[in-house]
Amino acid sequence: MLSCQHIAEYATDYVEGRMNFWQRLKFRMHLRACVHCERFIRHMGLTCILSGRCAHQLATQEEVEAVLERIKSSQ
Amino acid sequence: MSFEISEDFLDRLKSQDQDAFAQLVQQHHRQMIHVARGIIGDAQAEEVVQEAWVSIYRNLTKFEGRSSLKTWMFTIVSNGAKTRLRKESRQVSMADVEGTLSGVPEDLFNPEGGWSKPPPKWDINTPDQLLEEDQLQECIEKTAAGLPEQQRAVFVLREVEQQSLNEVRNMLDLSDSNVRVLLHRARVKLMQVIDRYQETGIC
Repeated sequence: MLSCQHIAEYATDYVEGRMNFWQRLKFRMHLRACVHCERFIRHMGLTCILSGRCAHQLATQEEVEAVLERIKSSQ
Repeated sequence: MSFEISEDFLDRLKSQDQDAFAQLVQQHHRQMIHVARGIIGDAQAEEVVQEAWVSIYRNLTKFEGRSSLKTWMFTIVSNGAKTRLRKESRQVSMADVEGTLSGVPEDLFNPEGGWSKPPPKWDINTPDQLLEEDQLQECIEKTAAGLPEQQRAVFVLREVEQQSLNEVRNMLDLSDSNVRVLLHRARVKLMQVIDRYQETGIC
């Protein structure tokens, strides 16, 4: 049986589907038996979605204009 | 959230519609800066991205759609940064990848590898519920902004711009395992911020 520490260390490989069949099976067996690790993986999935949305930054009007100006001057 | 590029929007870009192009710049410029920083560092990232926009604008009419527009644009940025790096005979620093593997603090586990401090329960369980918390959003933005440059570049490409791990690896010239380590560390750091917010109500 995999340890909880192993699950936490390789959670991204699991979430990203970067495991072979047997690794995935062992991972799933642990998750079915361990409420804490199941929570860790679920929280990681939520973190991915949430952080991707929150961290998206829009350029300011000045930044956009600087790019357009650069394009204009290169023509 | 990163906006989706529709067929109609793409047609407008290809016909060099200025408003559509300005919108494209507004949506992706900052993310491009982070990617360029992850390759070449802070000092020249802005210049690399400015050059990339010129190239994108000039070549948009020839864009054939073999990859997504976002992948095509970010590849132009990363190639520009890598070319500049080579001209200067510099190497990408791997400092961000070194150190412990996972970023998960070891003191969360007992010597047998079981949890000594299990992950706390979250009161809210959907992204939409979590997004209603303005202060939490600020915490996440602040933490993401403070990630080391390479970690941030990997995080931005994967989570914000939704590029595949293979595309991230190719764009940043990193090994598969380095991409996974950097992404995992960023995710764990952000997850800990949400944990803390859920437990204490502050960042």
